[in-house]
Amino acid sequence: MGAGARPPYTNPIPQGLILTGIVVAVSTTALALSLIIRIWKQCGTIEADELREMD
Amino acid sequence: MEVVDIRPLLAPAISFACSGLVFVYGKNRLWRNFWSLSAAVIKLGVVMSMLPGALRGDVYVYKLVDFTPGIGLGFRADALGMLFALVSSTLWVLTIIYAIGYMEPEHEKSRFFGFFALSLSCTVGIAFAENLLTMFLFYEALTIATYPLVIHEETPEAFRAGRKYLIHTLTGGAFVLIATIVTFQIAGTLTLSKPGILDASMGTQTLTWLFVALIAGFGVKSAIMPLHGWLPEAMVAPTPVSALLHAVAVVKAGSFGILRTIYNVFGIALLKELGLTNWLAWIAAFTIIAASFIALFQDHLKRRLAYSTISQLSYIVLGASMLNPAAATAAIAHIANQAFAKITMFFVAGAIQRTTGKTHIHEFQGIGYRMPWTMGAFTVAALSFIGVPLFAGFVTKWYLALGTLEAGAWPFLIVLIASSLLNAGYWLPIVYMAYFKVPPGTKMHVEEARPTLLIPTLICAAYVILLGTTAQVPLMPFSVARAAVRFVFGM
Amino acid sequence: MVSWPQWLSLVALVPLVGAVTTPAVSRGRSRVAALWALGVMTVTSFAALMLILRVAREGPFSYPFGGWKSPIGIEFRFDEFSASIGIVCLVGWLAVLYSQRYVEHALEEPRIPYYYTLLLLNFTGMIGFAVTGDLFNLFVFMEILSLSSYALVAISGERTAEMAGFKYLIMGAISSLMVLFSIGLLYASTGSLNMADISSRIGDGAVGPIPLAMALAGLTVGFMVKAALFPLHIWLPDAHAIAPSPVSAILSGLVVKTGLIGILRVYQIYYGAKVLDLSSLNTMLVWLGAISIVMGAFFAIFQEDIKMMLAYSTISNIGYIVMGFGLASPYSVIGGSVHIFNHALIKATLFLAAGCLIHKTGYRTLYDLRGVGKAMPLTTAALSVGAISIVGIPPTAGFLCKWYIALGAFEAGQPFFGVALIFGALFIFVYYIRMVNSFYFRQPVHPEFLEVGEAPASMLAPVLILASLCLVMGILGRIPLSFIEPAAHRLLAPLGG
Repeated sequence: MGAGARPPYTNPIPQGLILTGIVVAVSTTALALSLIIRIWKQCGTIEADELREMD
Repeated sequence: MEVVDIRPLLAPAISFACSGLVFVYGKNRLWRNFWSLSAAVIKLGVVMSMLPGALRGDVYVYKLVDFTPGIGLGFRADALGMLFALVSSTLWVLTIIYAIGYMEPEHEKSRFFGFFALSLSCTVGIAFAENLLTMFLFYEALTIATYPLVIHEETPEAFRAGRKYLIHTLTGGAFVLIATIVTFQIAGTLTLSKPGILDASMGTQTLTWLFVALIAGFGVKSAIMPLHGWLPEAMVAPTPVSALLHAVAVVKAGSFGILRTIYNVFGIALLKELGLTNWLAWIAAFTIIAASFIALFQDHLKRRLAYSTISQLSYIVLGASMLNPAAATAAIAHIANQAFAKITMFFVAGAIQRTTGKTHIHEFQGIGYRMPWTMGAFTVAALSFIGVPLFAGFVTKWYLALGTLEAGAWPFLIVLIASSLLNAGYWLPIVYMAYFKVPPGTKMHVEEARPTLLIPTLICAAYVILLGTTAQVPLMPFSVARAAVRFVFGM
Repeated sequence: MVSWPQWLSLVALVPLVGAVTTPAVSRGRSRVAALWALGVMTVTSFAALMLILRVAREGPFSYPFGGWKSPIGIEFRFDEFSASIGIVCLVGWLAVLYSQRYVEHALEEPRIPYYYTLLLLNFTGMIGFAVTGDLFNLFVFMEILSLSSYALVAISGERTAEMAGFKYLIMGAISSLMVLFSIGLLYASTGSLNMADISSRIGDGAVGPIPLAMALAGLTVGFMVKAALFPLHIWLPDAHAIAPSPVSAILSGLVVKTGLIGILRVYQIYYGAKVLDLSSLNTMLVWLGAISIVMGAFFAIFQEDIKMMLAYSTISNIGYIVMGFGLASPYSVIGGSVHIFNHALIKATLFLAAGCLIHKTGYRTLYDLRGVGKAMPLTTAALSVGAISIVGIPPTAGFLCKWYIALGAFEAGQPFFGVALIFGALFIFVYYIRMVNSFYFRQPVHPEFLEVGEAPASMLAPVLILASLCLVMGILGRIPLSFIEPAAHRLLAPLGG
């Protein structure tokens, strides 16, 4: 922490962490959604029960 | 005196190299036979060359590699190992000649000869193992290497036998592994070069479990009842396999393991103190009698041979568990005595099957006139099993009887006598059938087995007589057995 | 030879840069992409080799990014467990080589450069995960790894593949969240993200037991999902069986091990803690390991699909390793850690060889593949070596680990687990013998493939190299064992072991 810093200040580390966490979560969601779209295109449904019957 | 020498490693390595060459060049009949036979002869030469030294008391050792300090592969040719190696490599030469003739009409010959050599490599590896780990390694490898031989016919029956074989022997192997680990844990070493590495301070309970695990593990291959189930089934294998592996190499690997357990892991003194061998002796006695009874009722010759093997193997266990020099001599010498007699019988069974197509005993009427030499060899082996003097089996019986008396365990003497009678009961009818029950109207013409089958059979039969008459001659297996006993009992 | 610590940043950066540049460099030409990926992996492997040589000589060392010393800056730390990047590079390099011909067949042409991108990202994740000393960094690399793995499972674009990938993604995302929350908890209660620093702060006893225990639970469960330990293994069989074979080899051989290294890191953080007693965690891991061994073997017996069988066998082997960690005796930890290396070798052999069979014959069940031993002797020989090795028959790579873990069980005074482990191995043997039987001893159902011959050299060579390594590592097993030994003793030192 710099010499001039006086409370109250915001700790930058959690912000960085959360930002990164959001990036990760968004990419995961994007991948999940793209998979769902492809499954829907191929199977015509995204209902888990119906998909299970197709196996 | 210990001498560093590469020969104990060389012996298994030759068979190993041979199996590789057979796999590579096996398509060609000449190369296949050439490599198999020359490897067998060279290996016998290597083992024989160590014999004078072993009798003098020299021990050849060779350390190959250490996995971690204290755990490694080491080879050591002491008298006990020499005997086993000598027997198996002598019989390898004979069996190869026999197999070349016998396997002529079979399929997948390169696979057969390749794995055959591999099995022999493992057997000698067991014989020359310096420590329990090396022994376990070859013991497991032997299981794997013999599996393709057991299922060689590729029939559903063969697969069933193969599965049974694997389940039995691998479970046994697991017991050996556990015991090896525990031994290392409590003794800190695995060497087989001392007369016992454990001592009573390690706790009676642990030692008892350890003994049970080792005996159960090696007892599977040694076919101690009730662990014998795989052996009669495995007779679906081609006859050379039954002969060499199921009469000599595989089953004796188990018996040899039991000998090592008693003499080199626990040691005579400790076992006397623990008293664990009493029940082992009773199990062996039970196996001797029960297997003989079952053998009486087998009509298929190879199955009768299998049950006879089970019975005979327990002679070794019984002798070892008496813990005195005379019985130990019998136990160790029986490795050789039983091997030559039993392999003769298997050779005969195979020769009859290949020549006449007959496999069951009731079909053997008058066969003594069609195949006089073959049945002559059979008669020699039968007399040896009954324990007639001048034949190999007598030597075992004599020393074993001395041993039981010395130990004051007269019930086992009765077991021995009963076993002789039972042996007579199931071998002599075959001889009788062959010579004296000729169906009327059959033409008496000699139709012998072909020479590749007949010659090894006759050599083995001759050896049976030789073993029975030359027990005092140096360089014969019996002298090696005595050398081993001298070491074990510190004489 | 120079071994400056910058290698430590390069080893993670090179594959990352390689990954993002692959599409640009190749511009749709699949062969160029393959060569580029191979080149990147070669450089990475060289860097990894330098690092391993240094750690073997001097012990653990670290590299602070931007000169900011820990605990303030981010640092990479290389210890003996990090040396698992060696196996990542080896198997990864061979898998990339293998992929070239395999994916030509298995994937659509335009996807191929992206396939290599994903592979390289996957390696980045694994390497970064193993070398970082920072807990949050660990999470980021884990996510790089996981995301690329999900995509690789689904890459063939078939319905089953996408379903498997989706299942994997859901399980993986939940576990990632758990890990992230636990990291947050640890940061909140200790004020640090550097693993060594957290460990020493926990060791001081300044932190209360409740957040620590919660973080411990989250981390353990999260990594258990990644490692596919029973009962959190349900995503594994589909994902590993349906992915393209080189990907299966990487997933099964390497990616699940990341979860195990994660568990090791958790131990490194927590073993010093005086406020928490880890013995109940260890007991749980030992039992779960034992159950995994048995359940994996049990399910594998009923599989007809060869890759499905191999996938279930992975669950068993993860059980071995976790059992080794949980027993917490020096021998068992050494055995478990070395099995991370050896199992990677063995399983990669098996999956790549199975891939050769599928590539050439087009069949993948044991029934259809009967008699294939005559058509492809080298491939099936490699498969047999792998099978013998995974069962732990000496003198193969699998044996020493089994020996060490069982010895550790006896040493820890829990002989039951030693016995269970050895008999579990027998169980495993049952299904491998089915495989060997059908390859060599059964009459072919589809005799037409007797003419197909071996796979192309670029596929066969990796299989044969790995198979021979399975044998060599059995004989030279003491090298990794002695290498990992100081790390295991250091790990267990706080326990007084």
